[in-house]
Amino acid sequence: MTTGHLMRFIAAVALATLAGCGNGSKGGAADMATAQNPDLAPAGCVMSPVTPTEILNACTDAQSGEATKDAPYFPSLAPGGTLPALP
Amino acid sequence: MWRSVVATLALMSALLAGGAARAQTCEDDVAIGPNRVYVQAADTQVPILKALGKKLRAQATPTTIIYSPNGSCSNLSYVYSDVFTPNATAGGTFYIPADPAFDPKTSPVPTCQPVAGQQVDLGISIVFPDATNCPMTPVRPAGVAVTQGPVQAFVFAVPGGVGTAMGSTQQTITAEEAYLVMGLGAMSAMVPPWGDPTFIFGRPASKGTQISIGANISVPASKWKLLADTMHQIDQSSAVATAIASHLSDGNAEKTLGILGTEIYDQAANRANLHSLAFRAFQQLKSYWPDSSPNAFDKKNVRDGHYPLWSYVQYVASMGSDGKARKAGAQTIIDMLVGSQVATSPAFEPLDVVINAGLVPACAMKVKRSADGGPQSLVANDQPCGCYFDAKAPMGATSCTACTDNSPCGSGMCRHGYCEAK
Repeated sequence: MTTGHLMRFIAAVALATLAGCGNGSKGGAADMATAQNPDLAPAGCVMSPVTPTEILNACTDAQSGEATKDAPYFPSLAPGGTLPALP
Repeated sequence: MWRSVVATLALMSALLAGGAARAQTCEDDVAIGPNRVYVQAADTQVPILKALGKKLRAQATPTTIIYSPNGSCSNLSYVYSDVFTPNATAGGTFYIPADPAFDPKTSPVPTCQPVAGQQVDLGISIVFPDATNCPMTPVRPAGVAVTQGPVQAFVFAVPGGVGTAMGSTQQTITAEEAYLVMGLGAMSAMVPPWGDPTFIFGRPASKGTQISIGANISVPASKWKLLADTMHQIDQSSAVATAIASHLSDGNAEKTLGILGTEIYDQAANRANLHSLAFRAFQQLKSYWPDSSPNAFDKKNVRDGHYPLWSYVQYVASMGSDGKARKAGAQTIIDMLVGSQVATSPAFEPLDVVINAGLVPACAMKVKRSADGGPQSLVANDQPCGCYFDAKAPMGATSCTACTDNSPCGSGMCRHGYCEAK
């Protein structure tokens, strides 16, 4: 295996790992598919939160609200979470 | 002879009736007591003032809390100008009676009439006393100090008690939905079922509840699009609860939405007729209630940062030359409510009063923030009380080891009867 092949292999493995993990411990919309099934592990939550966003999304055994309003749900006037300006 | 007796009795009755109609002066040492503390209180803090006030009047050296409920920003102005200012809309000025039968949760609270120019001993705000929250408030005078106290959470509430089949079926509101309903107005928001402003209940812009929630949904309190009348910008929190509950079974429950402090929401009568909504903040993946479940009281999600609709209670007082509140009774109240050691006789634990009121002592918090609606960060308390909070909260329980000294606590410390981490 040449150095070029090795580099391409490492890059491929890295990309595959990233794709498989979504955004892993940082949470993310892709992982929220599991929110529809409470039997699955709470993917998307953060085990050791530090930042403000991680604190909001830390793993917890607390009951959560309506799953239909979990991310990535947004109301029609805030597509993707983009809010209109206040009048 | 008989006629003159009847006339005399009639005259006496008239005089007594006239006396009863006149308000009791607040400076009456006999009925109201000698150690009076005048408090400009955020109205969500009235329940804790009543509970603590009863304890203080029963002390060997009694203190009487005299209060008028008003908005946080208004209270700051009154402290800064040092003129006690009753809120007539809220019923005027109240004092805690000495009657041992007085029930802080159910008994009517007697009123009194303060003298002109009465100084303010203590002001309570439920938001940071800064120019962002209270832009109309003058600059804080040098002799006035602010002490940060326990945490109060806030909720969006709808009709129908938890677990009942009546009222609204709604369970969750997201920050984006709240932004649209409150910031654009219900009719423009396109957030069903909250599309009719007739059924949206908020507060005037000077009220801490609206300021704090507004800071968390990026809609400043002054920009809330509520109907411009006192039935929709409601002066008192208790009246908001009543307004929401009034739509329990009139066919409009689904459209109804209001805001409350948890100290008000957690009262049994309100939890029986209302339920709070889980809230999903900006950048958050799921929604949560202040408590670990809709019917719990543990404030778990407030304490660990999953539920960001909260603010610190702030105690504001003119200070004496010794660096303490000018009125000794005011300093005692501050010390009790922030968790400092205070000798009591008969003995009671002030922390219990705070917890039972639905507030979270700072020592039980795992997160902190430095501005209303600001980012949360982790906090490690020097003298934690999380175990005690878990044990003492209504329906509470703790897995912490009970203790009377440090011996069963390993590397931890025995605090308030439980082994804490340090």
